[in-house]
Amino acid sequence: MTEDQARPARREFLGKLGVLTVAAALPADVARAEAAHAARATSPWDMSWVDRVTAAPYKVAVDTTKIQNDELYTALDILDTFHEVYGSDSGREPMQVVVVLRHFAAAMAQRDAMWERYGIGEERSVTDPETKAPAKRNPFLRPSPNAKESWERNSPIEALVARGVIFLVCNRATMGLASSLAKRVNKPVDEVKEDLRTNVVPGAILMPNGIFALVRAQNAGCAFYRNG
Amino acid sequence: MKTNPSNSRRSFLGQLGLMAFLPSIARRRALEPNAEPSPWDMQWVDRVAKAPYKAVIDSTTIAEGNALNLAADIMDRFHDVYNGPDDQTRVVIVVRQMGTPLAFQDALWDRYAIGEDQKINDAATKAPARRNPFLRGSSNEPARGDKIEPLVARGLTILVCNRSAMNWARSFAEKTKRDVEEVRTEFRNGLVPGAVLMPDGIFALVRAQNAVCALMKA
Repeated sequence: MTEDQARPARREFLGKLGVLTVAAALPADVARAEAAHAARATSPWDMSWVDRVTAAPYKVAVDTTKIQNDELYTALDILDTFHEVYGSDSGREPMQVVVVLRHFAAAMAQRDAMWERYGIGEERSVTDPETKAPAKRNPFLRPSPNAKESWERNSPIEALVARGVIFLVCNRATMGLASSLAKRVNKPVDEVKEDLRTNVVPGAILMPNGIFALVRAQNAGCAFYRNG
Repeated sequence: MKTNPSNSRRSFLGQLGLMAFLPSIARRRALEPNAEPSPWDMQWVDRVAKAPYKAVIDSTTIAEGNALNLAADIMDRFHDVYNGPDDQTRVVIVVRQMGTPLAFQDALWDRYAIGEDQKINDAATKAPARRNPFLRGSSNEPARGDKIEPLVARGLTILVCNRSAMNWARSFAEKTKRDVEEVRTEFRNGLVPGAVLMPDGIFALVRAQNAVCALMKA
C-alpha cells in the first residue's frame, strides 16, 4: 500500500506553531504536555468520536480488513446483544461500536459516486448482488431491495450509523486505493486522492491509518474484536 | 456480493450445517425500554472486576485443552510474581464455536459420543472419549492443574456461547433423531461447574474486556 503523500505532516505543523522552540525552553515533561495539547487543539484529524466512545458504558472496536459483510453483521449482533442484556437508556444504545475499516475494507466507506466514477467494484472484485455484475455503487451502504431478513436490512453501513456506530477509515489505505484507481482511469493521482478524501460516507471518519484508530479506540476503553 | 472465505462464524455454522440458524439473528429483539430484567447471569463481572489482574481467553476450538493450559499458566505466573491469593488473578475462558464442548458435562460426552464425533481420545482408555477429558484427570494420570475442576476451584470462570451450545444441541438432536428443544434443555442444564451461559461468545469476550480483562487467544 503506498504512503499517503497528502498526509498532514505533524512536525511541519508543530514547527509552524513554534511549539518546538517553546519546548526547548521548558522542562521536558511540561514541554511535552504543552506540545501535545497544542497538537490536539488544532489536529487536522477529527477526534471528536473519542468523547462519544469514552461516554459509553460498553464499547468495542471491530477490526475489518476484508471487503465483505461479515464485520457489519458482527457490529449489528454486538449492538443487539448488549441491548438485550442491558436494555437502553432513553433510547440510547448501551454499546458503542466502532468499526475500523482498513486494508481492502477502506473502500466500503466510499460513496456510490466514487464506486461508479472509478470502477471500485471492478478494481476490488466486488459484485453487485442486484446486477450480478461488478458493483457500480457501494453495495455495503444500504440494503438490497430483495433483503428479506431483518439482519440483512439492519446491517448495512447507513443503518448502523443511524444506531450510532462509528466507522473509522484508514486514510493510508484510502490513498492507496486512490493511487490504484488513478492508474485505472488515467487521472492525476492527487485529483483522485482528493475525490476519495472528500467522499467518505456520512458517519465515517478518516484516521491517519487503521492501526492508529484501533489503538486509540482501545485506549478509550474499547474491547478488541476481530472475526476468525 | 463476493465475499472472501474466512474463519468467521458463518464458516463455523456452515461446518455444522446450520446456516439455517442465521435468520434467527433477525429475531434479535429490539427490547422496549420497559422490558423485563435480563435473564442472563452477569454476577461473574463483579468477581472479575474486583481482581487487580485479569485475562479473558478466546477458545474457538478444543485444541487439546490449550485454553485450560494457558489459564493455569496465567494463574501460576501471577501467583509467583505477586505472591498473592488466587482471587487476585481472575481468568475467564470464553468457549464458543468448535470450542464449546469443553464446557459439556460427562453425561453429554457419553450420550452423544462427542469424543468420537470430534476425534478426541481419552488418555485413560486410549479410545474415543466417553467423558469430558478436560474436566478432571483420570485415575491412571498424574494429578494435573490444567483441568477444569481444579481451575474452577481456583476461581476460573467459563463463559459459554449460548448460540453455539444450542447449535451443538440441534446437531446432536438431528443425529440421534430426538426432539431439538428437549436436547437443547439437556445441554443448557448439562454444563460443567463454573460455566455460565452468555447470549453469545462475542458478547462475552467484549463484556470481559470492558471489565478490563486482557485478551488472549487460545
